[in-house]
Amino acid sequence: MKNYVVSAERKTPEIMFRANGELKITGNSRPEDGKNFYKGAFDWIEDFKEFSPSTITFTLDLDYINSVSVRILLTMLQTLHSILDDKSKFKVIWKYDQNDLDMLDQGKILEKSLQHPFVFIEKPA
Amino acid sequence: MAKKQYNSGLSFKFISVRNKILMVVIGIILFFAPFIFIYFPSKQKDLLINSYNEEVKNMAATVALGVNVALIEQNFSGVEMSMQYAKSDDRLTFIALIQIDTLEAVKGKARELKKTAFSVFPEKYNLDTEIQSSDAIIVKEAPIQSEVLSGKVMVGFSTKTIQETVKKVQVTSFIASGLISLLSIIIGYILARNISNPILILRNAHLKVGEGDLQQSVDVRSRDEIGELAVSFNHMVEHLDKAEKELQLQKTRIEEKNKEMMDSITYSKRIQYSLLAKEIVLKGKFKQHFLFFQPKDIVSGDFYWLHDLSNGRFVLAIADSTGHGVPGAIMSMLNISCLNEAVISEKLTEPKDIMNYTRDKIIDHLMFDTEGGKDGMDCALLSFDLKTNTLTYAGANNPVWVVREKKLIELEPDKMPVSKHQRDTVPFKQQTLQLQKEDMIYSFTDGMADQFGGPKGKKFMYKQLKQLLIDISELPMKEQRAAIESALTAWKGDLEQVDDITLMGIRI
Repeated sequence: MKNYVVSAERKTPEIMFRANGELKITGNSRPEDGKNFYKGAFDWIEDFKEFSPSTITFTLDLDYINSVSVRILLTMLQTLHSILDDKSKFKVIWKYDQNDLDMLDQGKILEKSLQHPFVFIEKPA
Repeated sequence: MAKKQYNSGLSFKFISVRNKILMVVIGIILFFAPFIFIYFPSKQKDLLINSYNEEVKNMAATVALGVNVALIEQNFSGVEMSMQYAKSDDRLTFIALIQIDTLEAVKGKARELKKTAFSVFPEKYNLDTEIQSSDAIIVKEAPIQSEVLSGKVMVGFSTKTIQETVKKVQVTSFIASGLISLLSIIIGYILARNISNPILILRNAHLKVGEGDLQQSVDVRSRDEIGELAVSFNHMVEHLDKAEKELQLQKTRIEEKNKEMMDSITYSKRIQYSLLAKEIVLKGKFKQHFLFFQPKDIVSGDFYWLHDLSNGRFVLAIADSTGHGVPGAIMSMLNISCLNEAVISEKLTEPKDIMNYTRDKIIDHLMFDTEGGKDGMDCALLSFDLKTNTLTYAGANNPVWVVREKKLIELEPDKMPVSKHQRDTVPFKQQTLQLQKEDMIYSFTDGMADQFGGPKGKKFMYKQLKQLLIDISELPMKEQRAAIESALTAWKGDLEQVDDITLMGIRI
């Protein structure tokens, strides 16, 4: 199965989804048309399901998310969460800038909505 | 043929095609020049001289043969007759019969050869029997052997005629090779020019096209690759011209469309402004205030709204509708309309009630939205009672900060938006704060804190904003606004504005 890679641009993040279960979204997520931008990622996740992966590590390292992206991200988290039977093998890593408590908050809100523990990693300023 | 020096950007020295061909032709000629001008003529000369030598040798041998025969027959006039053969030759310098006697060794002396010339022609010629060939004369001998005498025939032929012949040959050779070389150079030059002329025509046409003249075409019809180049060049320029015209057309169309759009957005801006809280109203309500309102595009998703309440108080909203630009502005219209309904038709007075009602209304309105209807706003609702100096606040994601004597009091919002949401049945909470004179109240949207900039291109962040507001909290309104504006500009630098920015400061 091929990896899914999208390069970062001015308003959109880098997406790096590997077939071995390591998924990463890095950068700035404020696309004008969020649904369209993330469609490719969701399609890949559908294919990924067929592969019956055993672990998924989803790393989110974002400087900015607009409200559209937050909703989409939640949907993505929920979709990924449903793939594995053994939920302990689903790891969500939320990276945030040391000074960006807003981003930490956003992570905590998503954690609560998903009802699955996140690993919070603080990045030095 | 233009002699323009064209800087084609090539870093090596420019040598024209014509000169290159010419250089090759001249090079070839120069390479063969030593052969043509030196080697062959000298070889000719050698041949001539050798053959002359041979002739003289043969002459000597012939005479010697005659003499030998005559001597055997003891025919002395025959000897003279043999010599006659040579004598009649104009080139003869001398002919002599030499008798050679071998003297017996006498008293330790070695054998000597005594040479005696006994017939010399011309008679007056002073013969040196040891004479050798030189530049002026060729001397050859042939032996005479008989019972009567032994010796040799010596003939000397002048080189004068041969030298003249050699000179003639050299000159002819020289002239011939010279002519051939000259002809080659001329042909080479003509060839070079014939090849380079069409190339120059093509080059000049290319230059003009490079400068923007797309009407160029070349008339080169030679039946070779250069002719093909010319044809394809003409086609290419035609295409370029067409493409350029098409591009211009598209550009004009796009510019027109863009202008139309900008005009209509600018018009919308006026309409949006008519719904925002009027400056005059704000002045009337607050002792002092300032407003920093900077939409990202012309129309804004952020808005500020003020309305009187049925209980004698009034309510101020600082809100951030989902999106920005045109969709944000349209959403802000809906949001304002729902807020209006809450306070006008429903006559609600408590910020939390207003928020709850507005949320329900927004969700209702967007129920049939194909994308899930999750749009709405973040908002801070502030209800003021300025007789008692109390502030009642309910917030959806937007906090309110009160700075009192350089200390910041944070009023925290609910962490949910005014829209369809996981927790949209959870009622908003509200808080009341007793205000004091000189308190600065700051209400804002997330545009400022989310602005990217600074040395590392990071977000401005709340921490920095807090510090900024604390620092300026005792300044007059105008200066506070200016300080915020310059902090934002300095931070943002060349980066684009991320979102609409709204920040209102109110002095009690």
